[in-house]
Amino acid sequence: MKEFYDVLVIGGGPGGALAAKTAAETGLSVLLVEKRPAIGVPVRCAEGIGKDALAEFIEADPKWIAASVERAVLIGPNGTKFTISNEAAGGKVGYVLDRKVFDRELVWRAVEAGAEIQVHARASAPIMIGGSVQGAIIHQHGKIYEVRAKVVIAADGVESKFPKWAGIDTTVPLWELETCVQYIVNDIDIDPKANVFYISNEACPWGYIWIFPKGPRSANIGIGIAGTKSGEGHRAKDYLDRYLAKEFPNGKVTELIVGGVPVCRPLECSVADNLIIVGDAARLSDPITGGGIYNAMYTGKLAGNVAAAAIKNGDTSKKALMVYDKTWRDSHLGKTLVRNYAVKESFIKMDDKKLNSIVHSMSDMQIEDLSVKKLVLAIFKENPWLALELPHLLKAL
Amino acid sequence: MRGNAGISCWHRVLGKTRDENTNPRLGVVASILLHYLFQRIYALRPPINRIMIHIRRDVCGYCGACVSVCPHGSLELIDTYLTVDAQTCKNKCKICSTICPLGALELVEK
Repeated sequence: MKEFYDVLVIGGGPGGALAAKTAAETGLSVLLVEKRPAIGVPVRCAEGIGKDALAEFIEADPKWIAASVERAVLIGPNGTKFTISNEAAGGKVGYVLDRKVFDRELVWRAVEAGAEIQVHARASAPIMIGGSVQGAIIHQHGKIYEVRAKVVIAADGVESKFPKWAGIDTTVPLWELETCVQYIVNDIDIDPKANVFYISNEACPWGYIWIFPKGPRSANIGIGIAGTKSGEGHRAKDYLDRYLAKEFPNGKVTELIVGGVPVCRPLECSVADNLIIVGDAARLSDPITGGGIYNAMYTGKLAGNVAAAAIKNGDTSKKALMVYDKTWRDSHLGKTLVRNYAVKESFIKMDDKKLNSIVHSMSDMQIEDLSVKKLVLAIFKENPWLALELPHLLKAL
Repeated sequence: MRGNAGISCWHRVLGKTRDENTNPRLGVVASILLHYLFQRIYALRPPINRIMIHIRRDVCGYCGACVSVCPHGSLELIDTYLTVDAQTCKNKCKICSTICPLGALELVEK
């Protein structure tokens, strides 16, 4: 570990790896620190990603793809199904990844691009001079290092602390953090080509249960519920155990995965002097699906490019880095986040009767050219009572 | 100020200031009296019901959900080891124990 780098990346997930790779490719000296002793573990993810989304960053490789799915199935509280088929989605739905291998591949690519990586190295505080970040204190193997950098990229995920230490409030409101538990369940009868989403305010309040196949007879089965719906005796694990006992009583659980997914609005500002915040740390996961891999990779790459340009121009102030914040907000990603947040706000609190009615109206639809906009319009036509939600939904459309 | 440890401690303090000609037992007697006095004063203090966060290490899945919702930034996940900063933790907000997907955080009175 050197004393000075152009770019210091905190966190070795997809966001950090893409940031380090992109910055290193421009010829900058880059250090990526990961607090855990290994990249990719423990997994905190349902591992689903769209095929198109993934292709923007990396060509699919069987060694980290657990399953290729052809349809998404939405199941309402009473069991009504709505299937988004392969044809409707243009022949490309998505993959279920093996994040343990995937994350390593991404970090390895950053290393190949010239970035230095240190594992079991934890940033414990920023180095602040005159109110701006100048680097970080790094703890590794009982030693303490002062690492200075022109730009620090905080990719420290849902449990992000670095921006907080630098004065940016990243606290997620309790009701906007989905508390999640997932099992890898084996030896079960599933549709190995379908990602299943089950919504019900009784079985998974303000969230959903997912079944993402990881093989012909194995799947990630998990649940996310709103933080305010959690408590003693009715925690995410309690709900999931009840669901498994009912639906897959003979399933064999080989892994327990836990985590929190922010479904709040993104940070008001994702940059500061010499600091860029990416991915989950900037609260950029999708408010409806909870998906965050693509958003982390997108903002990670963008952060790498913006940092490189700013360093080249010799100005890494907040003003110079604002181009990062503006770019992702103006992109399809930023717009989707705004829209999906508004849709989430409308739908999350609906009782099971309303949810049944909505899924039922969807199941009757023939959707050739699927888009959220069309879907919402079709639902609205069938469920005029949604007019009460009009203020929110108009914002969304 | 508890038990004999307190007495011997005061004896040492008083013993150092005593004159060589005075009775060495005087220090011991004085310290017992002082000990008694302090015990009585200590018992008059207002009761403090301090609620502390207890982390059940065997339950914690070190996911960091609690860290992200803590309004005081008191929690931190050091690798897989969750820590609470007792200085900043307000103890009574219960947000962390509510969010925990596994139920690893308990509020206990100390």
